[in-house]
Amino acid sequence: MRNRQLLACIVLPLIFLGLIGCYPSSQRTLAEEARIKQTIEGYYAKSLEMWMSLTMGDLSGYLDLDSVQTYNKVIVLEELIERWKHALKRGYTEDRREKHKLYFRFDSIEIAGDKAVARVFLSGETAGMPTYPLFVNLGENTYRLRRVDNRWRINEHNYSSKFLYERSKTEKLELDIEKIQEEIDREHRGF
Amino acid sequence: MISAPNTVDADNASNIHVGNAQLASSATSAVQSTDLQYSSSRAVSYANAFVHNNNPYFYSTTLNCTNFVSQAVSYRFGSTTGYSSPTSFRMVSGTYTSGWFAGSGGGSGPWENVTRNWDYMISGKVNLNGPRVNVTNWAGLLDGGVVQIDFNSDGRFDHSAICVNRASGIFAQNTQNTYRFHQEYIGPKRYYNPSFFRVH
Repeated sequence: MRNRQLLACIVLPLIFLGLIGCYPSSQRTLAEEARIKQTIEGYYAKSLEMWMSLTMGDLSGYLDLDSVQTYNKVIVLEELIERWKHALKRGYTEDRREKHKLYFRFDSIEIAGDKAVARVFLSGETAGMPTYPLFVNLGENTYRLRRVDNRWRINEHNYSSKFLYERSKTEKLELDIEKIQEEIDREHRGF
Repeated sequence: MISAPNTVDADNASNIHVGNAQLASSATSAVQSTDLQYSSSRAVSYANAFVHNNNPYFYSTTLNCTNFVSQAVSYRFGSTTGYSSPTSFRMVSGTYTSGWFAGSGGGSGPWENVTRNWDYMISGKVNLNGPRVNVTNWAGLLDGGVVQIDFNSDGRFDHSAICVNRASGIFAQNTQNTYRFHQEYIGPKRYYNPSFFRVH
């Protein structure tokens, strides 16, 4: 009996102290995961907003622009916006852009220091003819993130698609708006 | 003397309705042929039905774009409305390189490969059964027409998609299984409108 009391006196405080010790750590992890989710969801929300308004904005809060791939994401989005602006201005197409819903299922988030990997399944609407912009890749997406200045930013993005939206992960794209407009004019005039 | 099959004209064609299909038979050609012509709505309805989920009647691959387009074009030439009946699709038997066919176990090159599909569709096919197409440009593309895109501008076409709303420039595609705007397909493109399926 005395032994049991002795054991309880030693073990219970140890368990209690252990729980206190673990609590802030798990809380920290949850907080970091929440911030990573905010970065990924925020990137799409901001990009969709820019695509709908056809106004280029700042994505540096979500993308690590030191990475060639994410830098190219910005360039291609700007290209899409310029293409739409020109085609609509010239009356080449109806404007059927709509902000369709995006659903994020976070399958896993692994954090190691200032780096993280998030596996996300992106799904969207299926009724009617929901036409998502080119930067939305439905299905499995893997994001590698880097914590810079205490903020998580997407550094690399892998997804299943026939082609890479950003066109290159190693070579920075350049935007030639005049050339793009000429190509659109040629195409729509039937040359 | 063997002459190439005539295209149908109002003077020598007899038109017969079979199911959804309209058959136009050449009466004067030395090699008898029948051209099956359909409205594009059949291809569009198929593409809309299976843009998000593959038709289990067919195989599916991780790079499924041309397989999906061929299914819709083939369905356009079929004579029944079910999505899992051989008569709902029209194919061309042959080898992997010469045929245009598919099933649950796989498909031929012209059925599933971007470049082979283009080469097959635009080829002459004199005295052979098979689909005939008109090569066109964006201005001439119709609903149910096909686009192929060279994303990297390297001369190699990478992707096929089918037009489901020409006025709005919306295409249905696989890999990814979604709709895309014509406006957002970046890179050189080429187009064809499926026209009729010739049966000898």
